[in-house]
Amino acid sequence: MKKVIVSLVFIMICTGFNHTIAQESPAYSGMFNVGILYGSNKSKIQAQTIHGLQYRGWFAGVGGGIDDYFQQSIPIFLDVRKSILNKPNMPFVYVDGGINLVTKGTKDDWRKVEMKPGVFYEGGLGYKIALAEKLALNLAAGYSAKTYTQNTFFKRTIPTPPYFTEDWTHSNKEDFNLQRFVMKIGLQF
Amino acid sequence: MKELNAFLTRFSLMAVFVVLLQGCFKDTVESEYRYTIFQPIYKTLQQVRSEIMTSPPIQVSFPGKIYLKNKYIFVTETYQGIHIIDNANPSNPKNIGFIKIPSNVDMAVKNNTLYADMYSDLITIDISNPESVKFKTVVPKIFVENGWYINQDKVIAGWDKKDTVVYSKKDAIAKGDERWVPVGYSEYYNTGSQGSTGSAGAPSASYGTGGSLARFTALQDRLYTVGNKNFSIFNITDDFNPAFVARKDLGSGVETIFPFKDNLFVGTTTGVRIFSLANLDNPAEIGMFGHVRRCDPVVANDKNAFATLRAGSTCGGNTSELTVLNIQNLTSPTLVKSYQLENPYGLALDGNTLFICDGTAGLKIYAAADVSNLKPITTIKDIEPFDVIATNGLAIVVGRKGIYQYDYKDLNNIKLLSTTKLEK
Repeated sequence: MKKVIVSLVFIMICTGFNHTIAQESPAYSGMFNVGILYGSNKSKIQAQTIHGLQYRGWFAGVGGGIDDYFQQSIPIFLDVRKSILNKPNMPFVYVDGGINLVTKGTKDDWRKVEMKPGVFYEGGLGYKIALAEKLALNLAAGYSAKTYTQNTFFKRTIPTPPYFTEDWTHSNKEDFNLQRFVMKIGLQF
Repeated sequence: MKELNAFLTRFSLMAVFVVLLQGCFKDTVESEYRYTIFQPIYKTLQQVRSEIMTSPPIQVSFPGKIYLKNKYIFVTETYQGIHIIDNANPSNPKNIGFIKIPSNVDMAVKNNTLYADMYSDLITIDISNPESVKFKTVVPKIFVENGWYINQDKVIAGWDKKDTVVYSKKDAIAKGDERWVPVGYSEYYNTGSQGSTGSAGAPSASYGTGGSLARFTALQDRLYTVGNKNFSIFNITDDFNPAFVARKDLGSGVETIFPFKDNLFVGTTTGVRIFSLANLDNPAEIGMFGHVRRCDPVVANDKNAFATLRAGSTCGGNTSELTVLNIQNLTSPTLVKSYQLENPYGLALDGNTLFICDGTAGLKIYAAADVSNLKPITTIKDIEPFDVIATNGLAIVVGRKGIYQYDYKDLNNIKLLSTTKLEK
């Protein structure tokens, strides 16, 4: 799937050379997307907002959102997308890459969980439908992945009052790599 | 519009195709599990018993119970033995020796006899000269819950620790909507450490003073010990020859035992149970004050019992508090008032002064003349105390970081006399 994203980037570059202009000067554009994430675990929702600049069929911006798949996380990423044609309704390709922030972790007498952020990356194809002069509906589908690390520490407990525990004698480090198919819909303004 | 229709058709086909390929997307987890493997070191019982003597002092590192007898403080090093601290000068306590007692958790003292658990045995040790104690007798296999015996000749005398790392890669599988819990958590706790019985007792000239987390207590020529589900009675009229009298089943969740006058107060996870010692060999349960599941050491005086209820993890429950009971009618203790605490463990009562080990919140000292309105005197923070003995103006406090002694003769000017730092 990583190859697919590389291919998308390649498409962007190639289409960039024969593209006629949409904007003569960079202009702000933002978007809100919601999507469904399908993977080998239960399907979940993704919600994103992305803000950046649009110029000559290119868009580059910074996005953030909530990714509820498997372990709720907050991806913060760079988004680059490229329109393939120069028409009001047109397909586009996009790639995202950034950091996948996870919740802080938990701690009790026996067990301490530390969560460490991983990476978030996504890429896909979409279709932009113009609804008004500066409003468009985006439909997109693609491959999405996120990673994070969970470090869990355990203590051995003395099972008699005061029920104390030793120091953190056990630790488990787990690197999660979650791969999903994403379908999303959004508004671009 | 044609373009859109064409795109939507392709998009839908692609979506269906990819959804069908959904199974190809694998969520994986690469794990690195670090374990400490404990391998038993075996010795014969004879070897172990021959090593019960005063060895050179070792650093206190994982203290359990405390017991004060005359000028000596005995501190258990959980599962390893008992430290002997000469406390003739509380401002300068001296760690004078260590008694190796594998698997030991609890103790009590009568005269010059120290009673301690060792595996499932009850042993007696002559401490008339603490600098040269002597193993005396054994009541074998009496604490059936301990279960450390391998066979008649061989016991686990210690553990070799070895760290190891196990790597694996497998599918990551979420559990419903719950947060994913790593494999190994439940497995680890299913192989948790062994149970044991406990330690010391109550104020008395010939019996010394134990902490409130005690599970052994000696008084009136009897040794009472509580296990997780029962308590046992030994006749110790002949100091070095304890005779097992009886065992009473108390159900699960038994934690601590505290004697006051002619009664025993047994702290359990579900309530404070009161036993009359009218018949020393057959204490009768005469009253109980129940509460939701929590850990609760208890101390008492003529009018009131004070129990700290600690919530969370091992103990259950959600809130931690001090419960004050009116026990003037022992058959029907009633709640006077509850006070919120943060992380309470042991406690002690000296006259109208109440000491509460509130764990991470520190040692809290209250004026308890009016139990309906306890007045905070002071809080000593940063010592993470878990048990305390308070007698004659001297408070001996065991914490996660050390053993501390305070002079509280003047409650308005409580002075730290000494700190014995723990090695971790």
